[in-house]
Amino acid sequence: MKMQLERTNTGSTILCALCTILIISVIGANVLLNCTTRYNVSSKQVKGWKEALYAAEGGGDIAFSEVRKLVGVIDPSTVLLPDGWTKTSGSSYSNGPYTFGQKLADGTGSLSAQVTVDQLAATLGTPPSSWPYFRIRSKGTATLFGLPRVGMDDRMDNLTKADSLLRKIDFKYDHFKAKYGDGDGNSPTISPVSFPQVTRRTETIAVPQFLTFTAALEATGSFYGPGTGKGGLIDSYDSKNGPYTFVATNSSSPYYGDSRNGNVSVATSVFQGGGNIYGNVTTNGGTLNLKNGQIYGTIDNNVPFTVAPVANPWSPTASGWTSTSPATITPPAPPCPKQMLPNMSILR
Amino acid sequence: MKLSQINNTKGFTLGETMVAMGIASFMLLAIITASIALQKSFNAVDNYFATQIQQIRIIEYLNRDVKRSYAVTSTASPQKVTCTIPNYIIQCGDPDANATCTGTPPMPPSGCTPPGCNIGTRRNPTVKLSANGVSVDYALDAGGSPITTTVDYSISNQSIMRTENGHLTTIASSTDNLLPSWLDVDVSNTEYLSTSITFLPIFISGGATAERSGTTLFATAYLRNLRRGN
Repeated sequence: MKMQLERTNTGSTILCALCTILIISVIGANVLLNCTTRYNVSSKQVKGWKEALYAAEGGGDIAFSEVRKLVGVIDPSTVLLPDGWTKTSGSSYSNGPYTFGQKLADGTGSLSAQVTVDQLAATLGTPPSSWPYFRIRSKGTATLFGLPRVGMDDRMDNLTKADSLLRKIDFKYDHFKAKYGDGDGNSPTISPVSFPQVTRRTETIAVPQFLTFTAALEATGSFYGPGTGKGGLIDSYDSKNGPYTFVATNSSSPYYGDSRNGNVSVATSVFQGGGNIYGNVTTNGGTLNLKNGQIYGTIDNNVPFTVAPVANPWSPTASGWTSTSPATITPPAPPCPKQMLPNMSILR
Repeated sequence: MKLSQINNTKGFTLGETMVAMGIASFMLLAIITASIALQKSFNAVDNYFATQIQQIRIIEYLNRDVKRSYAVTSTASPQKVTCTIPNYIIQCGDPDANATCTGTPPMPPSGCTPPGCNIGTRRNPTVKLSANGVSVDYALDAGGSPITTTVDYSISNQSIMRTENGHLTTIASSTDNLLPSWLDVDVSNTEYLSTSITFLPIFISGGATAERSGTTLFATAYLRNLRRGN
């Protein structure tokens, strides 16, 4: 028998090639993984978090437009119930969810807003003694698209997860209901969610506004500005700051901000300016005719308005309220609120 | 049995070996260089994305707090933003809290849950007529003055810190010289905060200034709770 020891010339080319491919693949996979995860956070999750706020603000705006109808209304249910609102308890009303946004497979929208309006009472002094104000709580929900995973830049130190602290995302369960229940800690429950989602909440306080006039000067007829060629001007000041001083051209003055509210509203098209106006000007279809001065504010020539009848001053006058003591003085009714003003905040 | 060894006379000449080694060395060098370049590129991209996400995070933290603030002040040196925020939630130590908290930080007693215990619940605002019109306050002290939450944003070494009522949170940390710039602008009937944040990428081709400028993220947030007059 003859045994033959065979020598081979083949090397490790395939091995080298595989190793090279492996190294490059590992690096490539790392790149792809990082890019995908960060893209997921910076686009999908940030988008969802922002859209949830837009949804909440949209719900708040819907409710506020309803609440604006309630100026001077004694019973809000006469306005809210016919408009589709539901009385939940006491003087609270709710509506929604309003759905909008990207259409989902189940036919609903990717965004939704649920709104609650609470009527509360405020003591606003005299006048008036008491008027209702309204609290609008809106919950905006955005469906979270993309990968249901947290980011890779979340952890700041052993304790802090900065992204999770800011953008709380419900991947499987509604974290808000689990921790806060109805928002006041009542009945916290573990509640699964259909899709990963982000919820944000806003609170708007709508308070009545009592001022009859909304500009420094309101003219129901023609307006001829003061001081043509005489250096007259229109500005504003806050009497709490003491005697009037002209600071409308002195931006370093602490009262500068108070001096630029010399707004002029004209209900007709006839506007003839005189001196400088340190405020905004509105007319009803007018063409500004300025003689000498300038307007240091915005100009809007499409603002019609009417002035509500002005009640007599509420305080007693010497001629009408002279009496001997003891006496009961009944002043005239206080003015009605003119409109609602919003005061919106982001709760979470 | 006879063992015989067959001598294989096939081989390489010195010239062939030298050429093969030259080509192999060149290929190895190319592979190593490509790997290093790829790794550096990966690091640069990784770093860019990570820092950009921190930029977004800083802006979002800041915008949320500014929007719900009564007042905002910013200082350039040291760089700091201070937000004064209404107290929406009843917290330990508030005058209207109906339970006594202990410890550092103060914690409510165990079993302090609504409706019996009001810590952690939302409070109704107080609406009143003031010299500047109708004001809305969430928490008032015994003297009727508003109690507020103070949130500070500051820079500590390479980190951006957020401090809420003394509680410190690191919201961004980077060795890439994240530079925020804040300016609160007080206008006649409102106030807003303009923010811009830049960082310096690892790969620079057009000069540090141009590269830093190219990473700028801008944001403007208006104060929604600031209301002057009626």
